[in-house]
Amino acid sequence: MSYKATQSIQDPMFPGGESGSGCVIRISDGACIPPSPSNRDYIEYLEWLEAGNELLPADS
Amino acid sequence: MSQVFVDTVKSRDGSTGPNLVGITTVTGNFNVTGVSTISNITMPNAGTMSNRNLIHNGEMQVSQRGITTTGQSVSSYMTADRWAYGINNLGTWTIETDPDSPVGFTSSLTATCTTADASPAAGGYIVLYQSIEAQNLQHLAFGDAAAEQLVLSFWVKSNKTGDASVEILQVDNSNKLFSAEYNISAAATWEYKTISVPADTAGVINNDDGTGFQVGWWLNTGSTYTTGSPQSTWGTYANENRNPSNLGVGGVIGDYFSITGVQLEVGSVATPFEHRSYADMLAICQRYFVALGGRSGFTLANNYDYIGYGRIATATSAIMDLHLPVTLRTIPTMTFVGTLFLNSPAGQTSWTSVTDIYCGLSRRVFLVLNMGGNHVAGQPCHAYVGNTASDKFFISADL
Repeated sequence: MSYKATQSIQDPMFPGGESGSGCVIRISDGACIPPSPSNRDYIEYLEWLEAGNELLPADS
Repeated sequence: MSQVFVDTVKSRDGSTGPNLVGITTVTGNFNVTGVSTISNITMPNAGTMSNRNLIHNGEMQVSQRGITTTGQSVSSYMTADRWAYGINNLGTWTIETDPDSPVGFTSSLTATCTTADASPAAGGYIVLYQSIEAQNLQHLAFGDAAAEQLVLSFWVKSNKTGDASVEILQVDNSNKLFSAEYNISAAATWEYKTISVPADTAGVINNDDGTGFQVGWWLNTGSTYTTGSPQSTWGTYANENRNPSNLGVGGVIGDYFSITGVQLEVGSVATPFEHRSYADMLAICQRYFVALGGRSGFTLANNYDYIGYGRIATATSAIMDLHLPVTLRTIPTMTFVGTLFLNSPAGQTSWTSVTDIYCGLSRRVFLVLNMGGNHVAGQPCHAYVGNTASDKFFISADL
């Protein structure tokens, strides 16, 4: 299992003109996982981080 | 048949009630007062008359993810909504929502072994479980002197016979454990089982949207989980007491375990399964998972599942407004398989990824997606799922 950061987009509707709620992408299935403490996938991601793994950068 | 007509039945001295023995039928306007005990009836003796089943989708009627999945060897939600399999280092399985079921039911959830493990590793396991949202358990009054006892009932069928284990974990209390044994006496035969679950006056369940109970049926495990004994009162978590009666499904290819009609309710008497309409149960399940698409056999263009409308942000990204059927438990994970489309005045292209989700726990979600093509910023767009069985958009807020 590994994860990568999400790309942001420039758009005036987002604070500061750029998207980015802190979602991460689970590479195995492309799932977009929001940073919610009660989301089971995000909890699993935090455990993965806790185990010493590192989030991969977003696609350029 | 003789008949006796009376207005009142009293005990001989009038001080205590008479004993009525062997009565099988009572008809007419029959008023009963001062009853101290009624036994062997199949009506609720505690809790509510309706909405009493704490288990969701207990008769496996809703399967938004699909009805069959093969080659399963790791833990996941599969087929029937709200039901998950925990699998670790113990064979490979086909999981399906199966029309084989007892009279009065239309579906069961079946796990069939396709790669056997005759000697599971110590920590290997396969367990079917459902997580119950904690705020739905507050009326049990766990942690209080008035805590309620429960009863678990279910129909089960397997090619394996013998003793098996079922358990409940209190996730908010360091997985405080209750476990019990039941017996499958005949192979390939639907059998009805009931398990009494004691009240717990010392285990407070948090009033939140996390997991309160995790109810599990063990199919097979390694020795880590089998060396203890059933924990018939709520107690400290102990691996060895979780599956002390190991049914051993999966030692041979073709071994299977089927279950349906699962009901967990307040009281000491298992009542008949409370059937709910498909619409009711679908709406309940959609708090935890929504699937769009996956529709095969449609030939009309207007049978695509529409996701929502939005605006093109850049040539390859869009901001979509998604309306959900119910409020979700939490901000959801989103994923898709197959082909999903985005149309704008510049043309139609396929999605490549979902990159951002904004959701304030309402029925409306903003999402940002990437797609191919050369769209024009500021133009309107709409998104929809392809119209084959393999095109699906998943929104998951499950426990």
